[in-house]
Amino acid sequence: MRRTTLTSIARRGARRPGDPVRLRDRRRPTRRSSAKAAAVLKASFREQGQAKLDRLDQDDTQKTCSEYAGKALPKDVAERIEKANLASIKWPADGKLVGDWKNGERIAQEGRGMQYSDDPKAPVGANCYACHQLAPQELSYGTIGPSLYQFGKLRGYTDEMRKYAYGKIYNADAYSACTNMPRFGHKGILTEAADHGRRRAADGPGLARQQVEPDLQTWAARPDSFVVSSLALAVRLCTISGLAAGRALVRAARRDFDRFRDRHSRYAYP
Amino acid sequence: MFYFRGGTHDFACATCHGEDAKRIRLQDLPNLTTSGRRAEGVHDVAGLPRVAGRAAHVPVAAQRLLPPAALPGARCSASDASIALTMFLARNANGAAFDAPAIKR
Repeated sequence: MRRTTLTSIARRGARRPGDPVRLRDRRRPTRRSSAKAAAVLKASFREQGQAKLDRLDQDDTQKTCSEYAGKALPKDVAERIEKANLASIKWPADGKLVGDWKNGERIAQEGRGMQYSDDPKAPVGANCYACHQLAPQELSYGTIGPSLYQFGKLRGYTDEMRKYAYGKIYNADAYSACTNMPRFGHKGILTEAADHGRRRAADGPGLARQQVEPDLQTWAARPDSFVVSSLALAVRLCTISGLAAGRALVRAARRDFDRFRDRHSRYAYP
Repeated sequence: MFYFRGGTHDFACATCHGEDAKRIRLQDLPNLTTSGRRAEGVHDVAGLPRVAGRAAHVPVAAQRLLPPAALPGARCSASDASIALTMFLARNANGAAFDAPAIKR
């Protein structure tokens, strides 16, 4: 295998191969370059499924965070973003901050939803494991976010912490501006389960599957359903073929016994 | 464009490919912002074939990466965005060892 360097191809002799190139700060986005990038992106994408081009329209948080990517966020800007996002959090209507945690595990595992190839009516997952460690049994976790293993134990089971956890998942930018974490509640990725029923045809994450599964079972168990009739047919076929095979086996055994008896018998049978 | 945050999840390319030694689930993520010798992953994304027949160009990578980021479909392989991103990645990777299979004739 021949190894050359990109440098030597680009500028032969200008730099020692392998020397890092000093990149000017110009590669970092500015407000003007961001607007240009948005225009180019819009021209280079097409709408497909539920993914419409308006997903490329940035809100203030996205715009500011794109601008300051890779740079230190000034304190006043960070405060502005956090304040605006904190104000957008809709706390649960019934005031209950703790839900069905077993269902939570399923939502954390589920990565489907919101993509152009996804059914917009299907439940949307949160895909927490892509970036966070949660349950110790799940070894396939990402490291973009901090480990949340024993989060409750370490942070304490206080109402304040529950409120923080809810708010953080609802709108992560409210607590640390320009975080990598998506704003699940703010962007409508996750919704309150009760609320979901009203907003979507097929309920919220987790809920829908619970309902779909019994539905599937009853559908399959209908006496006139295809599943039941084909199962019955399969059983009948097995019985018939089984009986036939059994009979053939008995016949073969009898023949074999006759032959054995003829060969080894001291008496000649008529 | 690499730092452009958008979509339903506020993701930019840099969200996942801006830091060293990160991974999604068990998949290692190359940091595409490093330059020089430390540049990694650019062969996979910027259209430089590492193994013949496994060349992944930016448009191909976009096909694979944009749906999980919940962004719309890429228009075509020669779109302005894919060319600009390819150039950005190639510029970033300047100084890295060029790792291509030798052609024997």
